[in-house]
Amino acid sequence: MDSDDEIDMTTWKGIPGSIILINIFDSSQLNASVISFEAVLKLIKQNLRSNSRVIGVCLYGTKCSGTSTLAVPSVVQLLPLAVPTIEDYKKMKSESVTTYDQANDLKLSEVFWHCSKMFANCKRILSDRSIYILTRLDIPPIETDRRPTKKRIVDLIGLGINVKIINISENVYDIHPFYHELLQMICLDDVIIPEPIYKIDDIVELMQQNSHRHLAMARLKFQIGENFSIGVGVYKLCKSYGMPKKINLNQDNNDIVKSDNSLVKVARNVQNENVEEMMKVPLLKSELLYYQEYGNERIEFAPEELNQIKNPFGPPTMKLLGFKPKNILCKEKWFLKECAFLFPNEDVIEGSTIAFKALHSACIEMSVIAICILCARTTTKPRIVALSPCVKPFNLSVEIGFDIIYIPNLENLKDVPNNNEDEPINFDETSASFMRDLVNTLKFDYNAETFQNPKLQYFYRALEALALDEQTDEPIDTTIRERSELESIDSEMFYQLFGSFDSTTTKRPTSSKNGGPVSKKKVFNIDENLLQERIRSSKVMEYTVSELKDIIKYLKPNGPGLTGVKKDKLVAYVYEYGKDVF
Amino acid sequence: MAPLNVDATIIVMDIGRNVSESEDKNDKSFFKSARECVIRIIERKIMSRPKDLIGIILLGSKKTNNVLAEQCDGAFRHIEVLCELTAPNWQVLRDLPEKALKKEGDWFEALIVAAERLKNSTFGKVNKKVILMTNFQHPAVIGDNSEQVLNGFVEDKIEVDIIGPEIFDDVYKGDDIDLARKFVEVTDGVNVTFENAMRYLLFHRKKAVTPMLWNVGLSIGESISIPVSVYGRIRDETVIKKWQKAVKNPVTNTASTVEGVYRNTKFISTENQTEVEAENIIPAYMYGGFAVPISSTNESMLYNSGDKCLSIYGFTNTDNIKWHNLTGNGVSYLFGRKGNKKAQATIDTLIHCLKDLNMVGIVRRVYNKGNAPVMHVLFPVIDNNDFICLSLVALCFKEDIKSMAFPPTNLKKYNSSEEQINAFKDLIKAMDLMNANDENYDDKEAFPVAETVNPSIQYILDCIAFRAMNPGKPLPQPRDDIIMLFKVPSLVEKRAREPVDRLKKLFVLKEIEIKAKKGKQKVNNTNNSTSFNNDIVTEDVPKMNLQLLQKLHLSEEVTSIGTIDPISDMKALLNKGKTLADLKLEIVEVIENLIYINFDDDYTKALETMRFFRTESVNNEPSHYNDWLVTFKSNLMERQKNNVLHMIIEEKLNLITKDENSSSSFTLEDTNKEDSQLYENDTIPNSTELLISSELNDLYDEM
Repeated sequence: MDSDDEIDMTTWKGIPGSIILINIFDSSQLNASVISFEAVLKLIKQNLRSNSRVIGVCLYGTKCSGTSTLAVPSVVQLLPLAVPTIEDYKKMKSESVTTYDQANDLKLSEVFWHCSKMFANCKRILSDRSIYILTRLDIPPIETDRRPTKKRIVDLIGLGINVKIINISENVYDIHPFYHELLQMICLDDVIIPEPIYKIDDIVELMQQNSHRHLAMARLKFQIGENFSIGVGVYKLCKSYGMPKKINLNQDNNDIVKSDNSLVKVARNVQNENVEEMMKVPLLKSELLYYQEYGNERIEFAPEELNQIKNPFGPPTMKLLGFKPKNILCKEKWFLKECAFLFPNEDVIEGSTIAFKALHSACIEMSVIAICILCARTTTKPRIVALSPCVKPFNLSVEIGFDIIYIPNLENLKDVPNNNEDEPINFDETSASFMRDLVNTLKFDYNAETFQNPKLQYFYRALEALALDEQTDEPIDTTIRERSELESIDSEMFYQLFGSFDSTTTKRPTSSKNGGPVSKKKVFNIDENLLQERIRSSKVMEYTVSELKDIIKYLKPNGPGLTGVKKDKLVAYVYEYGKDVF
Repeated sequence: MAPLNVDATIIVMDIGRNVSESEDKNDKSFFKSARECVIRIIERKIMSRPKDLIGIILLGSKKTNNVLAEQCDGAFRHIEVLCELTAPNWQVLRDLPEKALKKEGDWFEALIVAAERLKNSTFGKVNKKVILMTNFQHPAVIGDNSEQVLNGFVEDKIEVDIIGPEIFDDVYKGDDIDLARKFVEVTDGVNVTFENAMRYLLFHRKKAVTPMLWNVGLSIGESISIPVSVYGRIRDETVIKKWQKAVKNPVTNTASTVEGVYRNTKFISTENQTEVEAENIIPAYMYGGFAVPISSTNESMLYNSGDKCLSIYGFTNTDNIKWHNLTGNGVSYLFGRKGNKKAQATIDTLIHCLKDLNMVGIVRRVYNKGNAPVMHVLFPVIDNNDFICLSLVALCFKEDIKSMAFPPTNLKKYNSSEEQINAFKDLIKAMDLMNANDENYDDKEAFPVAETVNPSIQYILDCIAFRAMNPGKPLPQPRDDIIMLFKVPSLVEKRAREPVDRLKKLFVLKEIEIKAKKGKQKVNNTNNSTSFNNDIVTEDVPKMNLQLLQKLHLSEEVTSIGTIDPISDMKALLNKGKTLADLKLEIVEVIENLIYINFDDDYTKALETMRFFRTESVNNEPSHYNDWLVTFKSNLMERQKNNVLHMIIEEKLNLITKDENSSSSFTLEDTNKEDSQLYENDTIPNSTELLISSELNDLYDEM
């Protein structure tokens, strides 16, 4: 309710769409197409997890065989441009590039025309269109096809399609001038010749780049001074979602079931404890009141008043308050929640990018952060944030931007008891140098991609085993350091220098099993007579929730899980199990 | 953790004749100021310290109502215990007298009454406190027992605070004042003016809560384990509890006592819209377009996090950790276990060592057995006045990163000049918040981190207090104190004026009118011929060397019409002596291809080709164009390509009429009739999208 979580909002409609082209021409390098195919298969598998991207796959350089749906002779469409499904994956898996005959001559223009058709026939709205060409760059199309190829490329780029060439090769080789020209048309000012890559994971990685929807949380005018604003977009580049969302199925027929939560009013009736059996009347919005309890009274608000008090400060805004030295905001002390990301937006105010860049450079050169007030959406609360200039966050291809750091308020700060003793003991230099060595032995280079969520990895492996009938190796748990790297730690020396940590003070009694403190929770003594009496007279509702849980555990030791179960249900359990016991 | 202390406070409020008049005509009376202050104190108690006890004693009341007066005849007159010690509540506020009275009372006696109440109606460990609000204009009768009473206050640990007059100021003289000073001094009390008290009470305080403690062994490798304690330090959490729902009683407009709100959960099958019993529901996950039920998932294939742990993965350079790598909910502080000096010293050694090497630790944390592991950074914190400890912040996983595409910014047209950058540097110097406040403020820094309050929360609490005291009245706007929380400090604003003016001159910024929804525009756009321009997609598309291509193109021989450059192809073929009749079929195929295989509503090329074909037909034989167009239009109608039909009319590419070429069989009227039919067909329901979005917005409001 009070959460400041912003809800993502589409600004660029639709989802990204990619067509992947695999060159199978030329027998001497057949392996390049096999590697490419493997990589695409892996990409498709990865994309089964989310339905946020449409992918189409074509082979080109094939011999005319009439298999192609749109009857373009040198192109075989393996997957239409759509969100990949399990069946698509299985179909792809059953394919092999080696079964296709190669064309006599390589033609590229036809496959590009086919791409246009695929994009045109795609049913989904696409936010972003790209074509990935997996090929070696040493064999050009035949002479007569070169001009049409270039013309097609011009058309594609003119339509805003990103064309990316992935150079599949084990080693460096001479690139044919034709591809130089092609790259010149694709890249702008400076031509970057793609490095040859051959590792499947690397190829997949390249194709996964920029695959997320370009979603801005908000597009705002950032007011720097009076009558001086620039257009900006606020983005979330990192968001931890944990496990994927569960859905419900009807076990009888596997239909998807939606849950419908509607508010109803029920009469408060002391006699009747079971809400399930009560008269339920739909609640009108005008009949609803919200309240908080303070000072022993219910303070009531109408729903529209609630909207008003949640943000009385007006429409979404962003305003500069001033600047502070960068070191005033240290991560170790003031991190509150995931950063957002600020990027210029020319659709709001033209010319914003130049001003944004100048501000960015000035902040870096002066080592300052900007302090602003940010209210990203009408329903979010305005907050004071800091803008810290950053370059290429998460290694994404975005040259500039600001990390939007949420600054904690007084309300977010908690008092922490200072545990340290008044008369600390100090270790000598030997201990300090041992510690330094220890730190250095365990040194590694961290980057944002170092750790993968093992829970998610294992979960998907289990899900894939079910859905695809495929057994894969156990994923590597990146959160645990390899044992061999920890072997050099001299723990004996460590204990010699720092001592064993057996506490000298009186310890709290601990349960022997896991060293945790004994639960101090009061054990509720169950009065069987009272319980029987209450069951008989239908007054089980008078127990508290924790008492009910104890009773259920007592009545049925291996009963259902009780965490988060509503009181009505608990009461129902007591009646049910009570019947069996008494 | 030790339980939080409970405060028991009795406010002695003077309501006698001596406080009724204001000293200065324009000023508030002492009574009025005192009343406001009492209200503020109790409001704060209700909001943030509901477990405290509060009592009110009125001094100079008409009534005499206290235990001591009953015991000693004639003494303790005009002292009324308005409210015995109780949990803070709104009724106390409602009971406060509105006006000062004509009587007068003895403040010294009132203190004794308060002490008696504090002593006899509190139990256990409470901090006892009396707040005295009087202007000392009615002198107290000080007996010989004053020394004894003072000692009693000290013995019983009752603190005496005096709010209102500055009694340590030299203007105040007399035995009364001397005694009052003594009370404050010996009981470690405070003396503040109303102004200062109100400033201190300006904002609502958060409820004090005991910090969460997590004890664990910090492990390095397999055999080292250092006992440590972790406390939550910064948390992004709600201050206002979840709003409860109630049913409105239509008569009283307040919550009904006989009806309650109940959330009724039903399961509806998406296939046939029938209700499904909760027992029949099984969980599943969407995967590759299919719902995969997980009831059959092999438990052993799921991840086992192992026991609760905090184990060091390794150490890395501090600079590797960027703000955007951090995730989770705030910061925790880690200390060596309390009482374990060796553990503390070891952690201390680690802290200093990390600081010296400019490194941080990376740890794997499993909060409780079986919880998903989360990686954390361990930063050394050396805060000389405060803490020496390690701080823990969660790190994101690779899966959390969204690989999003952004338009390039390193293009030449976006380069900013040295002058522009310098103008911003001047702005930075002018808007220095470390030096934002003048002497009137305690602190020169504006918006100090973790010291400013959250304006939204303050406003909600204000509204709750307002509604409690003024039921049924419309809610107030945020008060100025709250608005000030996010205003540019006036000094900074003044300093920034000049640099901002310079910036305005240096940058050309053009505000863009927010366009109507794009999808909608395209269909309805019947009178805007520029709609062919692709507005967003081509925005950052580079310009290419087209001339080079044109040259390339001309040098090659044309044998058929292609979709690449149909007009040039046609021209070339016509030049070669082919007739329009020969080319007719090829042309229409190209046009139809260009229109049907089109995905971004950019029909420029197709329409241009049509125009060329039409012009050729007008000059030659209209039936080539007209015959085709009639069938083509009905095809378009079938395919619901109404936008193309509109464009054909817009671009004047309709049937060739008799006026243009006499051999045509169509008149202008014929074509117009057709067009009007077309408009009737123009009912593509575009409103569904709007409906959904407003529903969604309602949903967002709920959150």
